[in-house]
Amino acid sequence: MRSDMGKLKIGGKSRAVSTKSSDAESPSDTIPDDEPDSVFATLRSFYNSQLSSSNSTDPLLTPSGGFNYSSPSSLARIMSLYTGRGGYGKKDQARTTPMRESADPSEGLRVLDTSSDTEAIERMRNQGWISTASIAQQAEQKHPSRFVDDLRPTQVLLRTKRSKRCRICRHILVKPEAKVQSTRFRIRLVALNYIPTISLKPLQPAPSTQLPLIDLNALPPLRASQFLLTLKNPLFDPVKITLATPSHTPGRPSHKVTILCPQFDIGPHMDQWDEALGDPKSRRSSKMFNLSKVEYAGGDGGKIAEAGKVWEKGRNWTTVVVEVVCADVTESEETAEDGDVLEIPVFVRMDWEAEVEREEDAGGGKGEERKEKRELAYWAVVGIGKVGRLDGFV
Amino acid sequence: MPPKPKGDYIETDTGNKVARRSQLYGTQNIILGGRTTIQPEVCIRGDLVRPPPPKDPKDPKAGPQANTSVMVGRYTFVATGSILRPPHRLNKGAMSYHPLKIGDHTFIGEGCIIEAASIGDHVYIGKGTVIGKMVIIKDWVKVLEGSVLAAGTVVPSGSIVGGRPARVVGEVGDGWGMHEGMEGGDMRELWRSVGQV
Repeated sequence: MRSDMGKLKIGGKSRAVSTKSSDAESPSDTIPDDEPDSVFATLRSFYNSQLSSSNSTDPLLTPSGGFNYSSPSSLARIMSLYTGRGGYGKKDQARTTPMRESADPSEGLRVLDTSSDTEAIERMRNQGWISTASIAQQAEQKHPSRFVDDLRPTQVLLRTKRSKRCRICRHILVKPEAKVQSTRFRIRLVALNYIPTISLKPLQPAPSTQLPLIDLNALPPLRASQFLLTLKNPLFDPVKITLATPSHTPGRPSHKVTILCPQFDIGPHMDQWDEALGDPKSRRSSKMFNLSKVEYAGGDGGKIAEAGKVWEKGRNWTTVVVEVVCADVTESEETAEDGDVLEIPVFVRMDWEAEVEREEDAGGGKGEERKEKRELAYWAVVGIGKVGRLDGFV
Repeated sequence: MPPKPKGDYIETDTGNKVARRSQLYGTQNIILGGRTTIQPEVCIRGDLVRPPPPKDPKDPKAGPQANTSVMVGRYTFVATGSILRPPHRLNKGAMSYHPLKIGDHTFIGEGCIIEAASIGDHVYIGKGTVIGKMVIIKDWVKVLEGSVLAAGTVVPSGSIVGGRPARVVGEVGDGWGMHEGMEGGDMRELWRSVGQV
């Protein structure tokens, strides 16, 4: 029965390949079909039939593990248990024919055509190595393909638009538009719209002191280097920031870090107002805060880093000084991956009062503004550079 | 009054900053969308253009036909040494040029060779990439440095492509290109800083 089912699958007889004639596949005969899927199907049905006919006595050797109670051979066996005499099984065993291989193409036989081999060799000789398909290319194909000409285009996996939710409170974070062609987002809550942007640059010592300039790729070990840490506020309310960092960086090598002014305020991010007022200095300082001409003017006229005092403040940004004393990096630590990289973990805590507008229907009047205290705290890692060798410095 | 000193860039009234040392051929076929930056040594081949269909002499309304070969979007930055060339294809034995269209806020790195059919908005193309003929790059794509995109590649939105031949190696994050100064971000600041001493 299963062999019949197998034949039905390929349409009772082999399919003619006329519909797929556009492919440059080898011209198939009317019988048999050379498609790999149908070859496999015919072979499989043939082997199933062989197994069921030759191994009728042993239930473990029949296809489907002996539960095929409907095949004529197992039916006869079961019947004989009830009606037959003792010698039934033994006689049958002596007469079973061994399982045979497929004999013709309809049973799945494909004879190796030696001429096709020589044909392939000739082709390779003429067209060269470049015409053969690479292993990676062959792996992607569904049919065996030796030459580049036999390769067929593979299906490209289309990508899905994904929306994202918060793991804890299930708030929608990212929701792309439902329209297929548009790349925009209906909802997109990006962290940088709520968290201050942190940037760091070295505080080069004034030329008058004749100290060497700080090179971020070779920071001087065992000597204090100062850096300017700038935090830029994206919110429309002023924010109070508290910074914290472990006094020694975790892991080895351990560098000593001190933030000179851990608590400070940052102004609100209010672009339009100042542009309307036409204040050129603060406009520039807010937009190009890390290239601000205000900072570089005359080397800041001899500003010295003081503990507890902010270095510089702009409309929506503030800069403080961070002092780092790098540890001496030993040879083994340096050769380890990124062993000499200086990164400092910083804990940022921000407090601010947000204006929450509430509409009151009953009494009270509409648009009652209330100030709600909000706070946010998170860890961040600030990368600075690499520590130089001790013998390079005096 | 002394004449204004010649700067590196010529600034048009629409805000395009074109370097004096760049080479623009067929300028009547090139459209710069406004506030674009063309750095020195950039070569734009506007002369490779599909000849316009013959004018119908009976139609009096048909004026002189604008025939664009290269269209560059707003705030796009083309860095030093790049070549923008319209792609061509063989159509029934005849070679015909296809217009090259580049989107807004796109950054094209140094030394790139661009022969694509179209490049979308907010695309970041690293330096030294080669983009083959008739390639279509959708919006918000990052092309890694040194990658070579084979002819006819279509790159979907929001992907990162790299390698030789270029394959899609990743997806840009959800917040990619949201802020100024980022890759794929708003390029107004960069345009403003061009030409300033």
